[in-house]
Amino acid sequence: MANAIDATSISVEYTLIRKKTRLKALHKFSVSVKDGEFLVIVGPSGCGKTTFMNVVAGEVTPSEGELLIFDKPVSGPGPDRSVVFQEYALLPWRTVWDNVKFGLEIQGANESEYMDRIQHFIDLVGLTGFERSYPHELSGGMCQRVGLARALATEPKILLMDEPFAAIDAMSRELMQGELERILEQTGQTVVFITHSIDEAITMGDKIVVMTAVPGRMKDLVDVNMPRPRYEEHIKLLPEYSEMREHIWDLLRGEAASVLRAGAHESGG
Amino acid sequence: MTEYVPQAPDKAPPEKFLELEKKSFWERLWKNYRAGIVALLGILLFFILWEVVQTYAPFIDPFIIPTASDVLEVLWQDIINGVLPSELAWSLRNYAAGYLIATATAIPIGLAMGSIPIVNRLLSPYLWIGFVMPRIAFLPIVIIALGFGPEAKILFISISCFFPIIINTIAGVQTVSPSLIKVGRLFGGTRLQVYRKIIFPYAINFVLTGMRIAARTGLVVMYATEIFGSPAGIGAYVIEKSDVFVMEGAFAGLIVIVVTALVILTLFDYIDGLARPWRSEVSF
Repeated sequence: MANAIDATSISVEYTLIRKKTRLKALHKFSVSVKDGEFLVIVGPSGCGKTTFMNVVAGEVTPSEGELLIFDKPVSGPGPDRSVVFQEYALLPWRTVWDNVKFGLEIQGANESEYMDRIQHFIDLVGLTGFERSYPHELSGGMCQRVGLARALATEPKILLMDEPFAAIDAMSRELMQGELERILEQTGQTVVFITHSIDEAITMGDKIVVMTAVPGRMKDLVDVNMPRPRYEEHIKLLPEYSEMREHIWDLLRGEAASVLRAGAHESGG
Repeated sequence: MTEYVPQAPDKAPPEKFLELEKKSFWERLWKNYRAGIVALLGILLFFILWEVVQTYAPFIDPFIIPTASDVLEVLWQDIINGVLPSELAWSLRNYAAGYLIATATAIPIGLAMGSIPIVNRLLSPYLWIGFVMPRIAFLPIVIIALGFGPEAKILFISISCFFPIIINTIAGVQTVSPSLIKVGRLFGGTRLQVYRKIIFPYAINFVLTGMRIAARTGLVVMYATEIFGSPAGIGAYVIEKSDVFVMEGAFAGLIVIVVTALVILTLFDYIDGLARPWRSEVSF
């Protein structure tokens, strides 16, 4: 079976006009994700995680390397991929219902044919009864449920999630992790999930990519062989869990520290 | 070890939306119109104070500041004999015409300037020169060209209303959050779709703000243009009365101007609220 994502030696460079230099955000980054697999990317701030996601989304063209989505090269955004944003990015003038239907609407779907589908995804993320609410009337966790429903409503094959729960309070965050796993059991998407949280990475992922500081390269690839569904287990109490946590933190500690030092140096001089 | 049960989060429990309490007529009147009632009482108090101070304070010349009751009497008479309504109607016709012309031109030009950089580069020098210029200084010249009729007034009102609307429209288009535009693009939206479904609805906020500012500016300019030898209009009424030292009439005219302005601006807030339900506030 074809891989959902095949990234081969991807490099991305940005021109920093103000500093008159080019920044290499991603350096020869390769990864492949099987269909239905949950890939988590962890790494220090500014290591190119989001850049990679933008490449997969079709928003950024790599300066080097090749990206295949189901064996086809990427040339821009497409209906086979959907993005869930950290800052929700809901349209404030649209109700929950109208926000969820946004992707379908852009793709030219006729609303009357998709009523059931829109309702299905609103129900699936647990927002039944809030169809007519506006985003400003919802909590952060509920807003991200809308963002998730909007991404799922187009029935993409790949779900791209850029620190989706980073802005949500700790309790809702734990719940949302379980919810997402439960939803994916039903929908079966391939997921690329970016996070800063090692706990979130282990709780959610089948595979964890640990990245170096910028320019981002792959430092290690960790397979998480823990039973699913994990929301029904206290996986955090398993010995493998803490071993893996320690292993990833050991990998990241040096990288994160180097980012901190670089930041201190920059602001100091 | 207790078993972890996945919670069904935020499932809307029906008891979350409580029924509104039944309240008596007076309670509801007070709750819903508190601000208005207080404001009306304040105005009433002002007129009473005016009357009392005018009657008992010897240092106020009744020739310059008449008593409140005299002013209200003239106001009432000129309303029922139709003088004030017809003057006001003449003014408001110019105002409405000028405002509509401004809206119809400023919004499309503003949208174009906000979204097409070359158009912005080309037109923005004229925009800012026009904006900072003391335009009223040109009134005598324009009156010579167009005469004392409504044309010159409509022109001035429309130009004054034009600037706040266009400047806010441009700002609206240019300040759309990049992440919202990204949403449109990543779902595969074309440029036109991103414009129609994201940039334009976002800019409406700013357009409405500009239209509200313009409503106020237009009223001031409407009054100002009627001060220079106008054949009719509420501004002309005030000037006429004060020229012949009928101060009661001048004050009556001013009251009409203030009340009209309040009504128009309140109407605007109301329309604004209807146009933007997502901004509706929660009442506690």
